[in-house]
Amino acid sequence: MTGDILGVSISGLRVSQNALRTVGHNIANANTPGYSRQATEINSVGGTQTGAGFLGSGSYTSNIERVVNNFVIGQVRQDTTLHSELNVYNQNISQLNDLLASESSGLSKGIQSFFSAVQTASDSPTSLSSRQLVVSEASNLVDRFNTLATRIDALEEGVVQGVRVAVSNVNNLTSEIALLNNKIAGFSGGSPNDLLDQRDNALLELSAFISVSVSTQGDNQINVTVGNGIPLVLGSQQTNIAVGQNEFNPEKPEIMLVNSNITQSITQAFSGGEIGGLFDFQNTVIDSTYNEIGRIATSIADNFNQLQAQGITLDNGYGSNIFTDINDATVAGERILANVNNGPGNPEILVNINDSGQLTNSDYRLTIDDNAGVYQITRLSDDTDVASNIIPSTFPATISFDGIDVVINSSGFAAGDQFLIQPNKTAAQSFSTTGLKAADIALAFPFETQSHLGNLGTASISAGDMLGLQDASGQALPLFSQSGQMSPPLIVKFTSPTTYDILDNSDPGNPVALTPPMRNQSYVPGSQNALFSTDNGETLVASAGANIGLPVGSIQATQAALKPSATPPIFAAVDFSSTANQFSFDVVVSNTLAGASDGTFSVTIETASITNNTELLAAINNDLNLSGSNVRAYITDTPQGEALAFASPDHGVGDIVIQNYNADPDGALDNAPAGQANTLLGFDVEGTTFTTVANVNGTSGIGSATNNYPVETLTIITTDSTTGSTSSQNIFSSADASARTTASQLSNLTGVNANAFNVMELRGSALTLTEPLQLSLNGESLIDYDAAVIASSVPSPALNSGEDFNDYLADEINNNANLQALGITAISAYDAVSDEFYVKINSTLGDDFTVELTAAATGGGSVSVNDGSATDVSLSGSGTSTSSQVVVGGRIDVSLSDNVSLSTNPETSLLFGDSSAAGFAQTAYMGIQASISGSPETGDYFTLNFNTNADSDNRNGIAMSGMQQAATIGGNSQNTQQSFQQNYNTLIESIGISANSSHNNTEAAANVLEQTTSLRNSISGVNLDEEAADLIRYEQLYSANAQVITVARELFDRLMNSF
Amino acid sequence: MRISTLHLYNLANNSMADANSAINKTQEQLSTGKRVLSAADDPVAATKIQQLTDNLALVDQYSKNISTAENNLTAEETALKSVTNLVQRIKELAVQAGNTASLSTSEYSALATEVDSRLNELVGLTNTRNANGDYIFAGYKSQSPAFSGDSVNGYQYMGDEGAINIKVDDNTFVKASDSGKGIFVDIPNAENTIITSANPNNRSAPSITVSIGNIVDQQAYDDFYPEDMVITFNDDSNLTPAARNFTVTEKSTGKVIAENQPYAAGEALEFNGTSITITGNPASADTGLGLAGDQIFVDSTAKQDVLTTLMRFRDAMQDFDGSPEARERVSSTVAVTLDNLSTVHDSISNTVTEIGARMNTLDNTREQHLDTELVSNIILADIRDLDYAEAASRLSAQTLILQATQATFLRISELNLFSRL
Repeated sequence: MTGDILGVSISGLRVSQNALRTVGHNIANANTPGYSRQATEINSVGGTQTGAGFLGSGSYTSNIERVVNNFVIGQVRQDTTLHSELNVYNQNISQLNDLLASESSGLSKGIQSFFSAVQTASDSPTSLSSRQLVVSEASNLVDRFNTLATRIDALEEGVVQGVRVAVSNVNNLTSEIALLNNKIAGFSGGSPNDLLDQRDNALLELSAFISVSVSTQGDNQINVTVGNGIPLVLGSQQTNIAVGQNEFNPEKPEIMLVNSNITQSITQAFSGGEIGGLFDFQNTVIDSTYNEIGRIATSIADNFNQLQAQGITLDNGYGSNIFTDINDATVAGERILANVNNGPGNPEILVNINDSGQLTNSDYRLTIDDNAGVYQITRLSDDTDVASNIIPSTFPATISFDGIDVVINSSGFAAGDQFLIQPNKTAAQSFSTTGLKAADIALAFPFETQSHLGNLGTASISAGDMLGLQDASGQALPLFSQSGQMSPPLIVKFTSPTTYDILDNSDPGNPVALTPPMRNQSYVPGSQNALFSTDNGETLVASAGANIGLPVGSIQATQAALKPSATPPIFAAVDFSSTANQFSFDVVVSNTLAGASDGTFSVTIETASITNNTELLAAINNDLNLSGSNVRAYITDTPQGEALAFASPDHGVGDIVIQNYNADPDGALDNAPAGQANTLLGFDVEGTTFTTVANVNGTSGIGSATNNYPVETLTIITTDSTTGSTSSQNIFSSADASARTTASQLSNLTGVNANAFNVMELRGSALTLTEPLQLSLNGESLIDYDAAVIASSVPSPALNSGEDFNDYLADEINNNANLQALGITAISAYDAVSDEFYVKINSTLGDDFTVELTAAATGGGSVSVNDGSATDVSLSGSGTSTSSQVVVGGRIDVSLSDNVSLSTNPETSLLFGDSSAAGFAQTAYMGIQASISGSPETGDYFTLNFNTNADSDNRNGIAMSGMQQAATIGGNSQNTQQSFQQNYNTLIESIGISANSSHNNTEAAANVLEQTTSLRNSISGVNLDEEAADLIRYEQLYSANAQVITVARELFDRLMNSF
Repeated sequence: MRISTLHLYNLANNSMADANSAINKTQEQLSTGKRVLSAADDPVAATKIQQLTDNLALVDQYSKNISTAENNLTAEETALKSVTNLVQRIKELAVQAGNTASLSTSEYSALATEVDSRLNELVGLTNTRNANGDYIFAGYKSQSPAFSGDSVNGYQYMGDEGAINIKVDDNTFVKASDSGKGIFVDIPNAENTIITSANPNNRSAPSITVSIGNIVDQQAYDDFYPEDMVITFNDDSNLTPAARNFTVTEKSTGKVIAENQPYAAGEALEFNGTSITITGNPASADTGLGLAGDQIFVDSTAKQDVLTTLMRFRDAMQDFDGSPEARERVSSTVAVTLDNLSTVHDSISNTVTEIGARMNTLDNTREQHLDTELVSNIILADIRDLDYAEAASRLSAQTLILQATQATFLRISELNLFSRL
């Protein structure tokens, strides 16, 4: 019996020893990380059946179990992953935040100081020390950029190091887990609590580096995978990972899976944890920060270099780059990175920045398709195609997008090639100065404006402004293409108080027209008149067609004049009212232009009293008028005396014939007496025909009294600069329309400004000052008459080689109100080459000039007309009441805005010339601006010359300081464009916001982690008080069991003693 | 809930670390006086702070610019006031000289000497230099004197029309200089006169020079006015025997005024009432080679610079010989001189008035900048600077929390069953 009791007690002792040991184990591991408290599971040993029923035989330790909740452990892992990811990100971004916003390492102070120096230099441009300050501050600014880039580099290097350490830790931990898996699998029966704790702890540590998924295998082993099921641990198998290189950039880390035969990048599968946080920081923050800072550097360098180039230095030379050229070949080559897997062709590619204002802060990918036929460029920030086309076959080829020019210098693309384009990444690092001297800062503009001291008006010219050195297509403008001079110097000459010409003043003794010409520009007194176009794509088409002005082959246009006789009418019979005296004849008009005035018109002489020339003419003209003819009878003055003649009022081709005499027009069989017509009319029309055809009886009409401008289709094509789509507008020039009319039609179209004018030269020294001399311009008679005699104030054309006569004509024209209203003015001038005096006539509105001469048919002399070019048309007289005419057509200069072009149908226009020819539209953009205001007088002029020794000129300095607040960065839209400083502030702000939110997130994650950890600890952690209580409890258990043994022994002793 | 002992200690650690870092931050704020220590603290405020400090730096620079402009303008004003006094004195001399009936040759000679010395004084003033050594009235070409020449052959304005603009606000520029051309040269003259110049394209080396010229027959010149003349050197073969010769033409019309005139260096050439002297060896035209001859421009103007006015005044008195013609000349010259001097006086006082207006602009702009500075600083103080009272009380609260944490931790850690075993 005692044995039984002892046995039971001993089992109790054993149990309490085990429990105490477990409590001791718990207490010992109270501070062990990952340790889960263990509990002793005690069961009673099944009883022995006796007669009295079952007698218990003690207890035994059935199991030592780990108090864990696997769900909570998994939660702790997840929270750890999140926390360490956010934490490492937060640490890094805080550093970057401090770096950017700090006064000592950030850019703000540098930018401010640089611009302050620029302003100080502009204030005193002659001060070398303030110029030197610009140079020094430029180099300080560069240092700031370089230092900042280096610091960010160090941060990036830290990221790479962090990844390396993390990867080696991951490998250690996964191999430890695999080992533990192996050990754990070796046990059967009972759970290897401490090994499981170790494995859980290793998993927890692993989850601080990456986000892992854990699954349990049947035999208590676990599998660890990352991402989309990429295994790191499979049972006792472990896979190593390693840090490899990015396929574009060797400096960028990639996570590689190292298998026996393959090494592949699994960076994408890695997320969360320290590694995820580091990659996240690098990809989302470092890259964009580099790009933002780089873009600011590029923009500063580009803008200042451009301003330097347009200015001049103290040494009178154009400024050179203050910062290293942004498209330096080395830098341009570093902007593109080839994928390591590309084919062997290795094409030579440079990435040039063409417009820093349009640069985005994104990187781009150039991809070659699988057939190596097409390239595609994708903007990575928004995954948008910016350019795609067939791979060019001629080199160098340029692909342009977002202000970038990708220049391909050689072939060698292979299917599937990929390139990474980083326009901004290296800019902050490669930003550098060129080492200019103080005198090399180009604070002056290369031209100056001067008003002529002899100007009569009050107009003044502004100091002028530089607009640029290139036209819309990037071609260098000629004005400042040569050092030390303006090509050409310009002169603004007022041709009237409201018009001016801008001429090439290379020879101040003889300014000549520019190419393309800038003539007859309109001036509005009382407002600021900008002289030049601000549109860098503006072109000009000057009318240069075959029909313009007075084309070769032009002849004078005369009236058909029929002069059947040289005998004056004799009024032998005076009464033709009786039918016996009546007679009639036909006036036939033929050969007029398109038969417009052709016809047969009957004249019947039946008036009661015809006693003199006036009554005779009235009788004939009345009939001609009634029958619809505009031919008129008149009395010509021949050397033999007066005679009846007929003339067409229209100038131009046409003939007059007189025929079909009828002695009995009413058919009353009472013929007029023979010779009746002859005595009345002065010529014998009875049975005779008189004709001007072939100048038989007078002169046949010749020529054409119009400008002969044709009907043409003029098409204005407008190209939308963003979409590239085109739209067109047509106008149709009318036949014989004046330049003024066509120009006004053109000017009604958007983007077109047509300017019409007209010039003509008259040489009248060969005229004879005898009646009926009359010279008229656009219907205004120029020769004054006193009654029927030329006024004595008209000087003889023969006098002074015609100078006096020309002066007279010019005065007549200038004083004629109607001509003034048409903007027609005249100058009497001398041509030294031909040794001739002439009158130069100018129209500012572009009306035709119609010059009409009436002069004696013989000895009347002639006047010669030309349009300023070689062709002369001589007008000669053909006697009283008839005249000869010539029309000089006007000219049109058509200014076309950027993206607007003019085409003509027919292609070779008679107005504008060959519209398909290369130089049809010429660049009219000069790249400079100046304005005139006030009231100028004719002959006033202003000059624009190269600006020499202009040490005090600070205009370019002002332009430079304007850069401080100019919106120069940020793509196409004006809304997004910012100044350097604003752009940098935006960067600081966005990094600040990220840092702020990352700080908050990290705190939140830390709290969550703390909570789950405390939950886990509340389940699995050791509470020493609890253990102390257990200790007491099991100690008591032990004592009690021992007491039972004592009792058993006493029982036994008593029993023994009783013997 | 079960609390594990480890957790108890961790909890105390974390709480104390948190309290410490909060105290640390408050202390940092207190020591710098700034509420926002980095952009991460308050990104919106940080951006605003950056903008304000940028703005303050800009305003600071503008204030410096205003000072520079003020210095420039003060220097100019001083010089112009001296000129005004001088002009006043010469006017008195002119009035005195107008007394042609009683003044003698020697008195005129004395007056001429005085005018000559005033003239030199005036030349000195027009060639005033500033601290940088710039000739302030020479426009952009400030490294050479505004007027060059001497009191015998005449003075010529060598500068240009440039004026320096100084940026005093984002969109405000103040003209901080005036070109001498506007003040001293562009002076309406009582009589029409000429300005002469040589074509810059002349081939002769050294280039031929032309005197400033004068009008010898005002009536004849007034008839010709406002036309300009061009003197062009012809092919030598135009004369027989071949010799240097020139033709005078009217600029706008090309009409010949005098043809194939033989040239003698230094000879006075008189056309249409003007008289000029060409010196040097001109390049002739060469019709064979198609080379143009040298050209001299004689442009009409109704303006005359103040130095030339004084020279002509002086010359008239110097040449005075008591003859009635001389009296006539002096009397008309005095009239013209007085007229011109009044215009000069007006021109200068206009400029001085303008300078005053610019000074006003500068003052107003400075006031504005001071206001901006004040307001910016107030806003800056508002968003960046620390509220010391708040921070101090926060610090005591945080200290209290830390102390409480420490105290409770001590108490809790004493609550240990083992210690009672």
